[in-house]
Amino acid sequence: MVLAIGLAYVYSSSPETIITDTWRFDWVNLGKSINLSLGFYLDPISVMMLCVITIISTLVHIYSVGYMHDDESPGRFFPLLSFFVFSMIGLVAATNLVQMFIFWELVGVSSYLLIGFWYHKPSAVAASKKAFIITRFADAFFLFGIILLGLHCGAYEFADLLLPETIKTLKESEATFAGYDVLALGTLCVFIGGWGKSAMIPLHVWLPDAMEGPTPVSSIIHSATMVVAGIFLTARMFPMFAEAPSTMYVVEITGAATALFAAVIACTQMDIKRILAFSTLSQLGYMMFSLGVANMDHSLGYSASMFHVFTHAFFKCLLFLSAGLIIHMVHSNDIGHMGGLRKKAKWTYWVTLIACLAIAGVPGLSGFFSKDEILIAAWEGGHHCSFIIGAGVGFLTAFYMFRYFMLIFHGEFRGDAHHLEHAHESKWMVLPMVVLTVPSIFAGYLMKGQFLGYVLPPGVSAGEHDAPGWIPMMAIAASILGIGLAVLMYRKSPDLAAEPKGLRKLIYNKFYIDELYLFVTHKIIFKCVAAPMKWIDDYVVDGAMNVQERLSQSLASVVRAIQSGLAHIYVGVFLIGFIVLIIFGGLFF
Amino acid sequence: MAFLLNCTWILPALVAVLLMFVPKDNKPAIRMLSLIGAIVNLGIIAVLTIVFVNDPPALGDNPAATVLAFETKAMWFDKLNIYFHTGVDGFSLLMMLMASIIGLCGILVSWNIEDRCKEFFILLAALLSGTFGCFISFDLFTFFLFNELTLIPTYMLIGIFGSGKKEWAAMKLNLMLFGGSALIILGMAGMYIGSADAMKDRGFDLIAMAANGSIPVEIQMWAFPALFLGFAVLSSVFPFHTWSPAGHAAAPTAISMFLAGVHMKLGGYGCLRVGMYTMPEGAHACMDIFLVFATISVVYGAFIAIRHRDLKFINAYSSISHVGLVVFGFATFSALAIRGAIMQMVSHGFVTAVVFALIGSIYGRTHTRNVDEMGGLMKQIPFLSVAFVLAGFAVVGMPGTSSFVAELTIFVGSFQNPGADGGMNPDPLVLTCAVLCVLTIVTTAVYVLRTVNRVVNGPLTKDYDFGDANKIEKSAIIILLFCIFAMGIFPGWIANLVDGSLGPIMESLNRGAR
Amino acid sequence: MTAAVYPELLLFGWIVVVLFMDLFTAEDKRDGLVLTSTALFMFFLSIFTIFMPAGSIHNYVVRDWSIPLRVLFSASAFFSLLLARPAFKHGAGRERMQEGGVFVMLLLISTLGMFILSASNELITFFLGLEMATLPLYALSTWHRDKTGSEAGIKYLLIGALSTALLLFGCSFIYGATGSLHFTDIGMRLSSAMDTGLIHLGTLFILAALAFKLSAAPFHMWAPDVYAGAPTSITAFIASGSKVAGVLALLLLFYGPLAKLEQDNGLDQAFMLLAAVSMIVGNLGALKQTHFNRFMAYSSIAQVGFLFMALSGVFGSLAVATVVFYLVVYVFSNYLAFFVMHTLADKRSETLASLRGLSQQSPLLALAMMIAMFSLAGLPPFGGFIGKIPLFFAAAENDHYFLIFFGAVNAVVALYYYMIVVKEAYINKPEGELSDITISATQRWAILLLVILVITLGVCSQPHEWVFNFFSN
Repeated sequence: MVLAIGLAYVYSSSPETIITDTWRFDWVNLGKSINLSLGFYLDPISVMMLCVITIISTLVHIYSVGYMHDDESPGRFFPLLSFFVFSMIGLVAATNLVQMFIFWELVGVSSYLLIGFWYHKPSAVAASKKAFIITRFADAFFLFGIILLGLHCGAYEFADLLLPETIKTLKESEATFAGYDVLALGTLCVFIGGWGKSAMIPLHVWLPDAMEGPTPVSSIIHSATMVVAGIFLTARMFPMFAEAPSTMYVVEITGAATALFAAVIACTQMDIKRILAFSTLSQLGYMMFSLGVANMDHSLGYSASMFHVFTHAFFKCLLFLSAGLIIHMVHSNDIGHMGGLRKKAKWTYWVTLIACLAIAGVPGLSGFFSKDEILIAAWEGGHHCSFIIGAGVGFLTAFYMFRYFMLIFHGEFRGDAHHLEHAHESKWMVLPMVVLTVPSIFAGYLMKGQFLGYVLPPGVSAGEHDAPGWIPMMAIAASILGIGLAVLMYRKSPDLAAEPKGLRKLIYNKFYIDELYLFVTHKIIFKCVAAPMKWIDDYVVDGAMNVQERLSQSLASVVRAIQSGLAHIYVGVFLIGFIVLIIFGGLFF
Repeated sequence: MAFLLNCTWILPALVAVLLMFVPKDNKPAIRMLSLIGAIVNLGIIAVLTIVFVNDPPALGDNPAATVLAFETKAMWFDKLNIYFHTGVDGFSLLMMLMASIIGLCGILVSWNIEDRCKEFFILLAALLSGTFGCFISFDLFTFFLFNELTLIPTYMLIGIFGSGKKEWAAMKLNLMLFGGSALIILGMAGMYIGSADAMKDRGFDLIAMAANGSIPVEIQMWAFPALFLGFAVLSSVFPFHTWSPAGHAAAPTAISMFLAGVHMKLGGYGCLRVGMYTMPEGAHACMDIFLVFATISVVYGAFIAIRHRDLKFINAYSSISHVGLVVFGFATFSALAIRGAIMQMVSHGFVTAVVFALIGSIYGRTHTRNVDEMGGLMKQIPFLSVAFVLAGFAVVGMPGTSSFVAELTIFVGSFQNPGADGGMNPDPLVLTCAVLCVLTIVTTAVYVLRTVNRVVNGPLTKDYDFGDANKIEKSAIIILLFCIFAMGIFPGWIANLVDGSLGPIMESLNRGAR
Repeated sequence: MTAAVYPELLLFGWIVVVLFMDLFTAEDKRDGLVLTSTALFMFFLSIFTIFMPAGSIHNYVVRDWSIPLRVLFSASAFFSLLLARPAFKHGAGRERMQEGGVFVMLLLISTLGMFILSASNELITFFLGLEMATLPLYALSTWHRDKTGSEAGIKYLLIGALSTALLLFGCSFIYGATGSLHFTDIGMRLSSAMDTGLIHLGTLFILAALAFKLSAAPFHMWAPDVYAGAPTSITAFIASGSKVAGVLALLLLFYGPLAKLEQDNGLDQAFMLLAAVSMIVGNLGALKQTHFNRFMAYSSIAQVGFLFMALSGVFGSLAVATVVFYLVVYVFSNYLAFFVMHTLADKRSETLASLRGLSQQSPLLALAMMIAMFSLAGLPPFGGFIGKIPLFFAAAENDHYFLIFFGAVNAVVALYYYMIVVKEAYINKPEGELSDITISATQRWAILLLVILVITLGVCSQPHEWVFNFFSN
């Protein structure tokens, strides 16, 4: 694909040590001293992201050739996909906050267009709107944060912004905005931007719905790349965030809460892509709280988070691609209509198994290494609560992934056999999946050293490591337990038709958060804010303008009434007018 | 060169006169003549811009005096000290460039007007003439004259060629605009009397008034609000915006484009050039109120746009919201925000023009403007639909479009406002308003996406039998979209053009703050 | 004998000529001949008057600043005669008018009265001139011998008599207080006079009388009926020539001997009252009119309001000059409107509805009507703009900002009804078949001339400068 060139370029520059600031393009100046430019800012994490993006996008492009084979408008799909990759590359390579925001928004646009790619499906259209608006909501805060930080630091360039001196000055200046500390408020607002993009709760609602898009889109955007933009942003701004403990606290809480919450929901969902979506959410939560537990002196969380971003991208992409293939085969998204597919889809069976094992954190596969580091980071940082959640989520992850796996591939086929007759595994689709198994398995071994070594931003030290040996053991135990439980429960085709009840129903309906949103937007904002405003506009503001007209019309009638045509009235008016004139004429004042 | 500049308003007037002699059945000739006129005009302005950018006028001795390029100054009405004083700085040149492009596209989208075609193009040419005259006038009286000159064609164009409640809307629009003019007259009267103090004689020379700070403060205190309010009516600031939805809804496509794209900007132009530039003390004293009203416009327009179902109403309220942002930018007194506001004027000009052009084209096919009755047009008319989506992104302010640059600049600038102590602690009122404006980008996204989704996406609601845009429509839309994206991707030179002319205005405003 | 009085002498001579023409020509050709020749004469007289210098014979003083007004008198008469021609030929929508000789003579006598008024330098001549200008109009307004015609005449006469009485009263008070009829003496003794109250009272009496002539509210009640009842030519003459005479009378007193009195704070309140009431009554009255002449009556009431707005307070040179210039514009715009309507009234009624479909039928007439209306409304690039806007500046000179605001708001209302006329011509669809429009050569040329004049006044600075030069010292 087109991106092969980009790939080569990125690889060639990846061994560089810290920062390469290559190509610049003066864009527009904001104020006398601040000249904004577009360019590339390459440091380990952006290079890592570039690798992930280009590898995955290339594979997904290949996969799409097979997937979109029957679609009527591939001519629209591939440009949009490439546009997305362009935006994403611009985002991770941004040299300054504004450039990042620009590409951040472009990523939003392309995501909107891709989710709503099947524009004739109302659900897809609604999902695209939802995704765009919710991320836009977060972006408003992001913009606000950018402005605030830029105003007080006098710079938007990361190179200037993240200098220890700048941060120190900002911290010591005790500048306030509306009574809040600028550093805390600014970083928090920037983080809210990432919050929305990375779909942390409660802004997560768009991500499951975004699965309405074509599956290659889900695999590239909503698992591997775009959703980690928020993580990337937080990591990029890490030196500044680390100086704002309150923001870091928020980062940790949000991440942990999302990890747990999404994992719980994932255990009950029936839609193949939604399960993966909630799994993504949960994993994003991992990455986020991992960042939250790091600080300037103990940055293991930071490295671990980046490591997890890296490994997760591969196996999650793989999972999505395999899910896409399965959907292609059975023409349904509901795992209730699947089962027993291991015979029909051999390749898929094996790659999915590998990916599931990887995400479940089974030792030897990539997911284990990165998750392990996260848990160690949480423990070492003294964040025991997060640690417990992390371990628990590890168990849940293993459980729901194998629930997923068992329901799809084992047991009896429960769907419409008619579709299955013609189903086959397209070569275009299998190839990228197979390729992706390689990093899913080996990424952990290969990259571990590098990640823990030089991925750190300037001014951050890795700190000491003395991880207790029982942590990996515990993690392994949790995942084995989860897998075992799931296999046990779903070994045979269970009865899936029953309506979920009680607590399960609550979880199945995602804690009714979507309904809450609908209530807030439709009932409160539309009905109670916008509608009254329109009423005021129609009847009060415009009414006031129209009243003037009516007033003058009725006064005109009065004038006409006096003009009766009777001469004595004319004389009378004349005389009265005369008297008034004399009185007003100043004679008596 | 000075003559060439005056040609920008003489030429359309000449076209209008020439058109009167073309037989009214010779429609191709009428159209071609107007089109050629508009193209030549655009060419003239482009040439002037190139000359200006390559050789900008040097700064004068007085930092608050705008140095004009291509200046003409001739005594006109001697006894009242009315000069015919025209010239341009970067700001007005930019506005003219925008106006001429929108005018050209307006002619293109009106290509199919059959009924009373001749009158339409005569009036359109007259409208263009008045607009250009306004942008190049540096004598308040001639400025006002040209401004009023635009009223007659607007009224006639809406009244004759409009749709729906056109007569009522045309009347309402004109009366409200003339009401604004009444306030401008009041302010002008005060300025005229007040200008005697420092200038040798009374007069209307904007630059002289600003350069010497010649209008007494006590006159400014009431003349400024009157004048500014008058122009604010023109730029449809809450609560004087009601002419705009009614007018846009009734107006023919080209006039909606021109009204929202150029005419409303005339208000913003006047606010800055006439109001704030010449009466900085008054501006500083009264701006809080205008700031609040501008912010209300921004928020209010966006929320009401959510509720409307008629495409033209939606865009009209969207325009109110976006033009409110212009006044908001002015009201912060930050050089950067004012620059952003100017860019927003240009940007919104293009954006709203293309949206209205698209609405016109879509309406010409579906014969409805109600979004609930549309759907799935992407399948039927892909070109228009894709353009609609792109235009929608431009309204939302996506990066790559001009509105992103403009809005970003306004927002960044509004936080850099000088504030009470001139230091790092900006005025809390400005900040509150700024935060509200920043948050409105979400509301904007809501109404734009609702609209786009309903019109373009979803299943086809019925079987339509119309085709996609024809070549002429396409060219108009492509020109406008090109401008939007060109400005969004390469905003640098526009920013420089504006900055060059903002110096004197900021100088005057800063003097007013002291 | 100074050349300044030549116009009066010529006019007087022509009245005698008309008398003989009326006697010695055949009846069927009489009206046409008298009207045409007099119109030609008046045309040359207007041109001639422009070039006559100022000068005086004893107490008969032709002031230089009255020259533009004198031009306006003769121009008004000229256009009125042109307007009257079709009415004598075939009635122009109403009953055919007869006895053109007498008609012309009365019109000329009224014009002569205005000339005499313009040269008066003491109260007797002042009174004489004013009455001579008004009295023939009472008779002329009844020229159509139908019900509305005679009703118009009676009402005009009735209220006219009242105002004459007030005028005389006022003059006598002033004479009583200052002991002189001469303007110069009155001016000089004003400051030393003991009884300023009496002068003040007298002034208000005169003001009321002049307000009647100017049809300023609340002394306007006669205007709509008279405008509707009188022949259109006379309506136009009352609306322009007579109004100019009223303003001239006002200027003669308040720009001349009573100028000092103006500085008392009292009188500008009276002016402001007249201004405000006239504007609002005129504007509101015009809103719902359907009859064109009644509409023009209210429009002219409102226009007077604007004049009073400029004149309230000290009569600065700006105020007087702008008022005079505005009168020039106003007269021509007014005649333009009347011409268009009168041309239409040939086959239709003089209502606004008969304008419908005009833009399609006769673009020239529609355009002319639009120009007239927009000029009256004060929109560029017509004379009304450069005429009306400085009226606001003149008021600003006296710091009457509230009045300016009020006036500006009223200008909006005024625009509304002027636009209704334009709407009728351009936008409203006609009901049923349209009758043909016949435009005679005279009408065509007169309309063209007026259009050119109205635009020239708005665009070229020379006429403006010419008027202002008379007031520059």
